[in-house]
Amino acid sequence: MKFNIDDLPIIFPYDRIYPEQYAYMCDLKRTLDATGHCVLEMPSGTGKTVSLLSLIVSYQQFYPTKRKLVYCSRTVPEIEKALAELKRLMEYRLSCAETEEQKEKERNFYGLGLTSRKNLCIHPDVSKEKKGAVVDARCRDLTNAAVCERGRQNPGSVELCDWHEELGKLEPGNLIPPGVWTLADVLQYGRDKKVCPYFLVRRMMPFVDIIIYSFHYLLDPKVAEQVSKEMSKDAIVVFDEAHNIDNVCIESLSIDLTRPMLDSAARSVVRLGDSIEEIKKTDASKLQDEYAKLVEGLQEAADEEDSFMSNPVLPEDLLKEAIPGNIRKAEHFVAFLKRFVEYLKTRMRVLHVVAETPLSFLQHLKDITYIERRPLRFCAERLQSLVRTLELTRLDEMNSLQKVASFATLVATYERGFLLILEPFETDNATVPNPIFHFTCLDPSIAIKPVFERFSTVVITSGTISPLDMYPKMLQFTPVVQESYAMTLTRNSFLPLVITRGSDQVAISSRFEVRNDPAVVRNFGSILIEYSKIVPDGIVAFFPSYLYMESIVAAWNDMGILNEVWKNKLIFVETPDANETSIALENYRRACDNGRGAVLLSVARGKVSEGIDFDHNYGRAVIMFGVPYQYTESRILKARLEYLRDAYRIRESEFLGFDAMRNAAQCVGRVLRGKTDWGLMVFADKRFARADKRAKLPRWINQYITETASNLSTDMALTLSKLFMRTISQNTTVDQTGISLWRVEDIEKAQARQKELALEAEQQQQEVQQNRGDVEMEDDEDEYGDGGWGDNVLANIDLEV
Amino acid sequence: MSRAASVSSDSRGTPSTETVNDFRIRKRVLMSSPELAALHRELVIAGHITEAEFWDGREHLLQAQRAAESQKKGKSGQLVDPRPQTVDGEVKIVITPQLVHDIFEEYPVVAKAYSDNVPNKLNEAEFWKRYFQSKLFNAHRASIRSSATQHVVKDDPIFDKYLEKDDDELEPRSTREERVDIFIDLGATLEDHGDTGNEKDVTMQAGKQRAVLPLIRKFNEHSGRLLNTVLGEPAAKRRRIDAGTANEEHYEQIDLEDLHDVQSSAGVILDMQDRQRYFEGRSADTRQAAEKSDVPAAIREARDNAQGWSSRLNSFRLEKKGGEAALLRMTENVSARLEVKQRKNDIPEAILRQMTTCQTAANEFLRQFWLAIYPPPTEVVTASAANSAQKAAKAAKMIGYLEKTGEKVDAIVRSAQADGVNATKVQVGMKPVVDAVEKALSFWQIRNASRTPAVR
Repeated sequence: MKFNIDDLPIIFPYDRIYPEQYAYMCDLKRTLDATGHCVLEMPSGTGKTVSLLSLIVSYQQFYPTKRKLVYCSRTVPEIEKALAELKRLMEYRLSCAETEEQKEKERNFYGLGLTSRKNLCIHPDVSKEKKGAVVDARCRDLTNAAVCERGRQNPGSVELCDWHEELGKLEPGNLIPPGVWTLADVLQYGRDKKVCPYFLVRRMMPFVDIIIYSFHYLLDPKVAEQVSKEMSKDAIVVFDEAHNIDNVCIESLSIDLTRPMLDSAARSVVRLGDSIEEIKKTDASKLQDEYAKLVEGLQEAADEEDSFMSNPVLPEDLLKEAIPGNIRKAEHFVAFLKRFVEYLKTRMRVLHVVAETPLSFLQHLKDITYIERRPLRFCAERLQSLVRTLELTRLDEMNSLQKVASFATLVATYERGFLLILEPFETDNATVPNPIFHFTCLDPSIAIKPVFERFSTVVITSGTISPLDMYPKMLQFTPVVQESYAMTLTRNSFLPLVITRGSDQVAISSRFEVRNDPAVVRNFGSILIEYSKIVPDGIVAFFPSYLYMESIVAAWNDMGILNEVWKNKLIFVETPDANETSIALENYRRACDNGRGAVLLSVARGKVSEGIDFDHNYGRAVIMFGVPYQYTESRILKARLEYLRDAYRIRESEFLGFDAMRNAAQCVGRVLRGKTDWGLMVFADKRFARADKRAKLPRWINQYITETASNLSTDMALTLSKLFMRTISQNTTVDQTGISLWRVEDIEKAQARQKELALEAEQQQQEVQQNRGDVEMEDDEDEYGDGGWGDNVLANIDLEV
Repeated sequence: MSRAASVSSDSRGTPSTETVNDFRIRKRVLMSSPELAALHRELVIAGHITEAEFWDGREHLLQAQRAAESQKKGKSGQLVDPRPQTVDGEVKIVITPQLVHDIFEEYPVVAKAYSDNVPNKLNEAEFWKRYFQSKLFNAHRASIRSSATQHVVKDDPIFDKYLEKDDDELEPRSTREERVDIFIDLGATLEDHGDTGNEKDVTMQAGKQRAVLPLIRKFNEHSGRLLNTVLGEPAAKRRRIDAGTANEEHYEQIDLEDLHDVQSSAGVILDMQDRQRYFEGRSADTRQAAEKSDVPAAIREARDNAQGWSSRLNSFRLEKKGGEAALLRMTENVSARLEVKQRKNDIPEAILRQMTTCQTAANEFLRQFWLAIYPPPTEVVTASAANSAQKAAKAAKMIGYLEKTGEKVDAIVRSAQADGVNATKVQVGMKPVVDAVEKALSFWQIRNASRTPAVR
């Protein structure tokens, strides 16, 4: 369908549109026009991605500025889905284009997705490697500039990657025909044309209209430096499924060191020393050249594609000056590293927990080893330069040393918002020390700050991002639009239920004190048994943690609960291994398709809860066993809570509750796609009954939790569920068109009505102003500029059908 | 979603001789329907008609039964977990052939141990006895507690050889090479970027309870195996599909179906036999009617007729005599029915039963007779369909039986009289059958009369 928002013609690849999609697009356009940031929460399964892409592509194709879209998602499946969505949209746009000129314009649209070498490699040997780091290292060995040069001058002397070589022969900017290419498409194209898909995408990035990749490629300075440096300022940045964006921010600046890592780093230092000795004998000039360059303070014009590691700190914190004299000489630097690693090793011997600020760490370091802060800050950069000079291969073996160098640079760069925690024992009752040195970032706004500063429009969106004001607070930005949309339904297509006690009236909860109580375990079990009897096809159950899931699975098995479930459905469980879990997921889906039905046990915040959809028959019921709180005994979490309280006045309990509920909502929200889909959402914990907990759920879920359904025992919940399933299986007699589904006419009607209202408001305002002179009028509708849709405007629309 | 094909295709077409001859199935059909069984007893066992004759024309019952039986019950989902039971005061594990089969299927290593050692080193009973006491069995038991009891279990030189290392590493022992569909590929996300951040807290580290991992793996494997026995291995071709279908499949997964305009579905075309004959006659009629009818004219006419209906209603007058007659007849009808209802159950049980038997038998003979007379339905060429000579013989035989029907009815009437029951009532009750039999008899006579000269 085609319609206009203001003067912008939108092409939407369906015949109808949900009202919330329309409102979403209106707000998005407002943000783009205002070149500001926004936070938008749109109910899961109401086609967020397609609305977003449809509006932005329409925008890009209509205005001559051609702002690039950088679309970030969490997981590879989601990236692939967004690419498929985009591809279909472009096919639709092409079929809608009227003139040949327009058609040409649609055909020349570029959309690509980027992921790691491991996922995109088609080299027969290298792609067989299991670890991503090994693939990266081996790939670099075959494709770095020095090797390539040698190989090309003297064919056969060194091994090169044919696919990379073939790609190099193509004309830059024209490596792949225009169009939208999913990851699978690019891989296939690479195989067909014998070119390297990874470098193809990397090199095409300056030329594409839309690039889709994961959060890390923009937020993690180590990656962003290589990948996203050249994005223009006017690009539109979208973080989809952004409810966990603060965690990604924090992770990208945090580092852990363990004793085995230090040992390996020490070995790498020795190896570096050996290489230096060797090269001194064979080609001493190289080292001298390097030294000369460093003296002049020349940043090596590195070919970014094969840089082995980049700086772990944010670009603005980089010191643009020459590397200090005491580590300029290669042997000096090696000695320096050796000393630093030794120091860290000594620190690890301490048998009590230490928490200190970076400043105190640096002071202690200086007292003991005389290592100054300034050279430490250049550690990562210096290491990179040295490795390149020595032309080392198999850099994955240097991984630990690289981490140590990153650690050094980070600890010497940041003072505020970070903490060092040394934990000698894994758990409180452990007796054998297994020390971990955490360098942890406490402030998510640090990593995302450059993104907000650099790009004019950043869109943060998800199905579950309530409460909305939390994100601007945590990430320190000011949105121009901040909106949560309700779900318009002609009949309730999902039923949220809160089970607070079992049929035996024992309260159920995953609270630490009672979670292993046999009565609670049995009541949780009987919920699963009963639902496996009445729900067709797939049931997904989520637990608050891996530890709890693993212990409860064992307990259920011994109590014979799983035997009852086996009678009704197959059972699949999330395992530590991602590929193994994928296979279990695949089988789970087969069982749902086949009609045999299955139960999938997995973990909130786990691998499965992120990015896997359980729509239609893949999930007719989701059961959330317990409230997915974080482990509050974790020292890192405690530090973070403290920081949030001191820096941003976010109370500990408020943050913990918010965090638990966003993850619960995320798990539960994955059952729906479209308004004809239906599913049960079972929250099994007495704490969900509390109003303050439920208030943190997204509005679109919360509005459908009735008073009766908010405090149920298992048997009552089952009765309600049965009733719901009987009702939902009836054919809909109500025509949804015009209410929860809009045609073009409905959009036009809504627009006309909105104009009327706006006009009225304006008149009123004039009157008020006339009456009161220059008394200022307070109208919260005006807060975000006009042209948008307020809640009450939406609510007042009544359409005649 | 695909449903399991419930009827195997071979039993759908023509009924094979096998079906008809299958004694077991016939027995099942008879057992499930007491009435049919009674009739069967009456006619076949009493020797009036043959078995084949009885089933002739009832093939569909047999087919239905056969189809129902050929639908296999799915395998039970439960894990093979032999638990000791108390039998006659002793605690033992009862080994049934089914259990053995299940164990071999679930744990191929036991099957291997069995073939290696039985009967050379151990006899069957000893094998099982030792197995259930071995560490191997404890490793196979679906319980985490069993691993705790492991040190209690004695060493067993034979079975310990087959003991595998517990599959409790974070990575599974056996990995599959092919990737899964990218929409559910969790591994790809894991490898999408280098690992960052601090280690997860202790509750969020998967696989911390290593003892549970073998159990979890066993669940996944067991479920997968059950699926594979039904659906076959996940087709490798599906993973290697060409890009076109992959796209289609992916589009389907991201589609929001209710946003499309309602497309009237074509529906499933009813596969009718002899469609031409069925539709053409009528459609010809309707076509003619359609040609003739002039819709506006019809409406106009209807409107004209309806005009002034209220005034015409006033002029409407009932014919007095006719009205009274109609009313009288209605009253009579009501009283007659009342009478019938009141006198309903005054036929003694024995007589009633005789009547019923007589009637069903006669009906069966009639059925067989007409079946023999008329050509079989064109499509169903039954294997047992006799040729015309046989058919004629059969018809003659049936006529023989039918001729006796009159006598039988008379006998019942007589015995009814003897019991003091109104004989006419019995006669009235049996009249439809007698009529039908007479019709058949007269048809037979006419046919024979007309045919006889033609043959001679």
